[in-house]
Amino acid sequence: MHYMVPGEDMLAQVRRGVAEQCVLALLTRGERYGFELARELGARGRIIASEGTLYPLLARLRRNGLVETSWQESTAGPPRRYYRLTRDGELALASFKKQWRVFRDAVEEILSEGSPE
Amino acid sequence: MTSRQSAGEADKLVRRYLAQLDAALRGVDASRREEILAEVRGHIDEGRTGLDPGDAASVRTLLDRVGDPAAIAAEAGAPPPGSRRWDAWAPWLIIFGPVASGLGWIAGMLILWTSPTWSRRDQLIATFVPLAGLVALFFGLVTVLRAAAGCPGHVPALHAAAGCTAKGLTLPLGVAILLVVAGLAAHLLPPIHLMRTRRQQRSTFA
Repeated sequence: MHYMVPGEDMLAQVRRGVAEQCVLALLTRGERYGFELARELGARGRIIASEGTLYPLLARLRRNGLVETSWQESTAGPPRRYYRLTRDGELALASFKKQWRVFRDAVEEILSEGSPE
Repeated sequence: MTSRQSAGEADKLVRRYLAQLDAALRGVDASRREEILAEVRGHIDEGRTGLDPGDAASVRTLLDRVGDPAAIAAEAGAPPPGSRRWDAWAPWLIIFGPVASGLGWIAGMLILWTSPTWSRRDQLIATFVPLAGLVALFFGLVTVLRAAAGCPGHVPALHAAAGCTAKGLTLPLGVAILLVVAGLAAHLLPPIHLMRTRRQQRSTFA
């Protein structure tokens, strides 16, 4: 599905998978619309490549049943599409959290062994 | 500049951006493409609500943050632009094209430069290095042949190229042999590298 561009940095591949989980994590605090999510992720830096790349990611999460959407009226303009975690999304996030911590600790340990001090 | 004109300019920027995104999303299935376009359009509208509608500079900043349409399309799984269809031909045309016919080499160049398979660096190297290799190979070979034949000089073109005339450049045999080897390597290695890169990518995408 994803095309690897020659020379694309390795972290871009990792970031793609991790960004999905970060979106799920932000949604545990309640439903959000795209713009809010984009600004929150953008403010933390380096999680998504640019604000626009959030939308294909959200479309993927929705297709995989990890989030669901509903249209809600907005006082500021046209209706907004709100994203909400599904039960599957919660389960996916919980399992990711567990695996991520083990993975992160293992990588940290190996990286620190590799350095002289 | 009236605010009406610049409102027009800001709107034009947004329209142009969305058209680029739409084009970049070619190859993504229709419903997903529409969903992404609608969401990005909504995002831009949302970002503009706080702004002066005529402020083209802030719209530019906003679009910058939304990011390169190609990056959004790549995230959506759109195939990169260009065709890989003729990729397999490029290395062979680069090797045999210049010798068999100049047209073959030109076809090889067209394939090489329009395919997304190779990086700009690979494209530049495969364009110039094999040609330089061919020139080196030619001069080296002529000199070696001349030495082997004792410089008979009855082929005028070879005669001149090999430096048989007193004024011509005369190469020591060792240098000539080195030229042949280096020329051959320079002519063959870049196309071989193209083949290898292509194979690696095919296994990645399979």
